[in-house]
Amino acid sequence: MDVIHGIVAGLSPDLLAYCFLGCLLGTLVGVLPGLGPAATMSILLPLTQTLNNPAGSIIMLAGLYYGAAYGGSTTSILTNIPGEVSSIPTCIDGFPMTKKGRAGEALWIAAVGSFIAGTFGVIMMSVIGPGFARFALEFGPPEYFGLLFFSLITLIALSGGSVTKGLALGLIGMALGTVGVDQISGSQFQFAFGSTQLMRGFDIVPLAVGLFGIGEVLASSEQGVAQIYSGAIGKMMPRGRELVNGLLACVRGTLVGFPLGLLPGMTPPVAAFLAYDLEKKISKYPEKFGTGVIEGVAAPESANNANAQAAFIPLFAFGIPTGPSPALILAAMLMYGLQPGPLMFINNSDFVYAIIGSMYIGNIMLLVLNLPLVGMWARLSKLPYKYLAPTIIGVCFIAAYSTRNSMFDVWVAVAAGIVGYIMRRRGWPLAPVILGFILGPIIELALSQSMNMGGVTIFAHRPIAAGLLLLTAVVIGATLWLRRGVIPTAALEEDAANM
Amino acid sequence: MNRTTWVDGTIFFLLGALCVWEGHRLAVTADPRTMQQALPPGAYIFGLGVLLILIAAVHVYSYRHEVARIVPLTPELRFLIATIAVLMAGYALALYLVGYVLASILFFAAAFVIFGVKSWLTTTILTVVFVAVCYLVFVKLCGVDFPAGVLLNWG
Repeated sequence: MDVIHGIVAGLSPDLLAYCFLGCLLGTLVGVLPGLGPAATMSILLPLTQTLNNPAGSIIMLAGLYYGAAYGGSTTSILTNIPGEVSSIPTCIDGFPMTKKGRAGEALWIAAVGSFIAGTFGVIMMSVIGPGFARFALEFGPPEYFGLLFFSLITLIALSGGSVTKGLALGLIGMALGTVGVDQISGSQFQFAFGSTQLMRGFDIVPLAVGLFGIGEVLASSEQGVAQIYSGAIGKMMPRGRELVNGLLACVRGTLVGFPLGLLPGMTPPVAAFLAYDLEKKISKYPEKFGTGVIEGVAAPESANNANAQAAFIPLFAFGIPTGPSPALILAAMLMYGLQPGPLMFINNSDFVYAIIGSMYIGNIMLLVLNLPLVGMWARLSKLPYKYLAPTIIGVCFIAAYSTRNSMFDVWVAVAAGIVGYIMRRRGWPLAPVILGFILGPIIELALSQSMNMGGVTIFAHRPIAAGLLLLTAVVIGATLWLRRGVIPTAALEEDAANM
Repeated sequence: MNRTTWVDGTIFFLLGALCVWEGHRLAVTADPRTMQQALPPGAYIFGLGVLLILIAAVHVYSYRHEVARIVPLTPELRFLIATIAVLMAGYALALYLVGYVLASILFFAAAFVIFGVKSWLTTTILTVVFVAVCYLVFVKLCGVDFPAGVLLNWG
């Protein structure tokens, strides 16, 4: 019943408008190379505060996140340029299909696969989300610390080519999160060096806007502009055996992407690569992959969408983001004074179910936006960067300034942008810094509370906490082993820089 | 020994050392009553610093033979990136001094030219349109307060 109420709430004119705006922006961001969902979300963060509508703001940001997973396929299929890193596997068979005059079929299966995966993800969220939250109610500070530690370390370790770089940058992010008043004692200033600006600490928006937005503009300035697709799209819906194979691949991709989305670090690009590899391995004609096989488009597109949708379950039930974009949604919720976690499903059930309801609607909106309007999106991907880049920088400055009306934050954004560019050049992943910054203070608080309950040994006496800490080591080892074989390191590094 | 790995390791080490120093300072200067907590002041930051130093050492050791994959920039690209960085710093300074409207007109005009818009007419039109649209959307619609500027107090 709650879900029905949520859908009804999501159909109210204002929430419908925010959902549409989010989906539209998400598709646009997915189509445009050089502008990722995390960068756009960080630009929008302070603006959502001015809306004074928590549900509308989160619905818009969520729509942007899962909408980007839809939109990224269009340019991959038509121009061989992935709008998002998660769409790289789609290029492998999508572009050859276009060259064979089957662009329409590739776009159709990508959109339908995304719809199937997205809808499955929301249904599962409605079904298992409250159960997750009830389970989370049994968590005390030690268990919460174990889960946060597990999530952060796993996310960091999987965020780029080098585990040590990821870990170091995550720790730097955690240290940045401590700047300002000591949150435990409240009596000291940390890393302030006598500066009143530093005593206030850093805000998430200038850091994220700089690292993801400005840094991305500087990095993209090195690259050329997207090619122009002028060929025919051809018939849209595949028929016969092709249709059955495509739809079955969509189901398999969904089943691969969804459970991975519940785990920290298993971001949509990771799920897309794994689904593509699995599809190739179980195929009767693996040698044809790369020449324009419909399953090669259906599986990764479904996997990355199911994965994006699944990420909302740990976010709402535990307050744990599984990647940088969910981390920014978490930041937006915290800005509104909403604390994601088990009690959210009880204390803010109207809010949670309105968001879940809007996701059902959003998936239908995205199907409509991506199928009939595919030609328009393909043309938009040709927007020259010389017009786009100054606009992005200008909006980043406004976003950085407007959170606290502080010129200090603008300087922080400029500095973070330059640092973000240098990090990209050196192959340093960006996500750990932001994740460390957001999760660091929460981890510190959970650690302090746990230790006040029984010192360091408390973790040995709490089975869930001990299990999670052990699991951290196991998951890192297992996923590193999986990643080496399946996902190209270069793609992971690009993913880490662009998320 | 790979130079890139050395540079990365040194940066991590120095930041780790800074954390250790700050953690120590906090512990030494803390109110004695707060030292009763299980996690005393400075301990968390001190721990982060120690971990960072350890990871720096592991990083340098693990990647000492790795071949650097940083593609060098051409002089033109280096100039472009430096120009954009200077332009952004100039924009931030101009926002503080002369406020949003004038600073943005100067910034957008320069940025469009730097990013490759050739026609002065196009640059002028785009600049006026972007500044006006941003002002209307953010100030009038979203209620954002733009910097007024300490010199001219425009806004």
